[in-house]
Amino acid sequence: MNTLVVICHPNPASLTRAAAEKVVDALQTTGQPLRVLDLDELDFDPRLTDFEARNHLGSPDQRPDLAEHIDALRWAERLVLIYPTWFSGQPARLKGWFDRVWMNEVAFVLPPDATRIRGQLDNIRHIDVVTTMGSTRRVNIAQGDGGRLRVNRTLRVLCHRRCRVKWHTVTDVDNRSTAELTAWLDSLPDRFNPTG
Amino acid sequence: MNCLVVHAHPNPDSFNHAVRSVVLDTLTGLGHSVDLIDLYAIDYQPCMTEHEHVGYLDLVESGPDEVVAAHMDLITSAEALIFIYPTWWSGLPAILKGWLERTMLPGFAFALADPGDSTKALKVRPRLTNINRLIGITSYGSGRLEVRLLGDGGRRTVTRAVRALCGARTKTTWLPFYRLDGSTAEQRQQFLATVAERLTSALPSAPSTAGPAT
Repeated sequence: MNTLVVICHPNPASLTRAAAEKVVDALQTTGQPLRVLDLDELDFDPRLTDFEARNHLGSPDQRPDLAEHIDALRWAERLVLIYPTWFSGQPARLKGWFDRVWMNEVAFVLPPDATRIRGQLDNIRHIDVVTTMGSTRRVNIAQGDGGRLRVNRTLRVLCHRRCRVKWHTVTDVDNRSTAELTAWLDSLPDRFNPTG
Repeated sequence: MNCLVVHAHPNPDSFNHAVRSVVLDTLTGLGHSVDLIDLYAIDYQPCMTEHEHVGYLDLVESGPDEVVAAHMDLITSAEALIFIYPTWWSGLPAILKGWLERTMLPGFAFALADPGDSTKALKVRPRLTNINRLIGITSYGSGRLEVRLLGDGGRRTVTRAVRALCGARTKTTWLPFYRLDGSTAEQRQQFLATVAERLTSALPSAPSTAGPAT
């Protein structure tokens, strides 16, 4: 299964980065086709441009700087998102990856006379989210839980109609012991390579 | 009243900019003092850096980036905080989401309780008690029903996550414009009038004319 991993965290020493390493290692041992987009390493600019706003129903051919990302998104059957939850959602860099790459003719089309967009990512049948949260689940829900809703609803409906989302989260990170965090990290390889 | 307007839209010819003009004119007309942060115009860098993440908990003391520090000063002197932006994928544009991440720092926008505190659900304590009015103005591509079904994460970010940083009595005003792509010039004009009207009632001109506080 073609698997696309998208990683977002500025700090190499972070728990999120440790998780990303575990997940990528596990996926590599499966021998399945794998692509990794490390948004920080690529210094991905998340700010939708004036040109992109004016041409929001334009064609991906007009976005040569996003070609690698667009190609990977269309290629993927499984999408793995790895990021820290900040302010109850995806960090700006990853939010901007959605804003810019999940564009017209790639993630959706707006047929003439239609009032609703139609999803175009039939290729994506699985989404896995690996995220670390400083807050407890209760605080995240109180803050609106926007990151989870975005993946489960807004993005999933653009993918295959049977697309399933799996969450691999650790909450309340600042109050957990090293042993608890290690146990969470160690649980990840099995989730991504059950036979490994 | 001191009003801080935070605006995020890359296209100066957009409806979003028209909304911003009405907001600025209305507030100035009411006699308020207005500061504007136009994130695209200042080429704002929204990604938290490695340095900022490593030192996150002490960043306020150790000295944040100078742009961040200047924005913190503007927030500190504001009584009304107004966000104007387009909603993309059920949320704030990245440039604005990142502004919250880099600016709303612990020790400034909120305080963290001691790790030993048992009341974990309340461990984030608000610090922006100077903000007594929070206003969100946004446009959506989708209609109201669809926005609701998708969870309206952007609205939640403003009216819950940012609201939680403000005082207990802070009032929230939410001004959505749905289905922008299919809208008529008349509907857009009507919305601009609504924005002016709602701002005028939310932020009355001077305490002496506003009557006793209720």
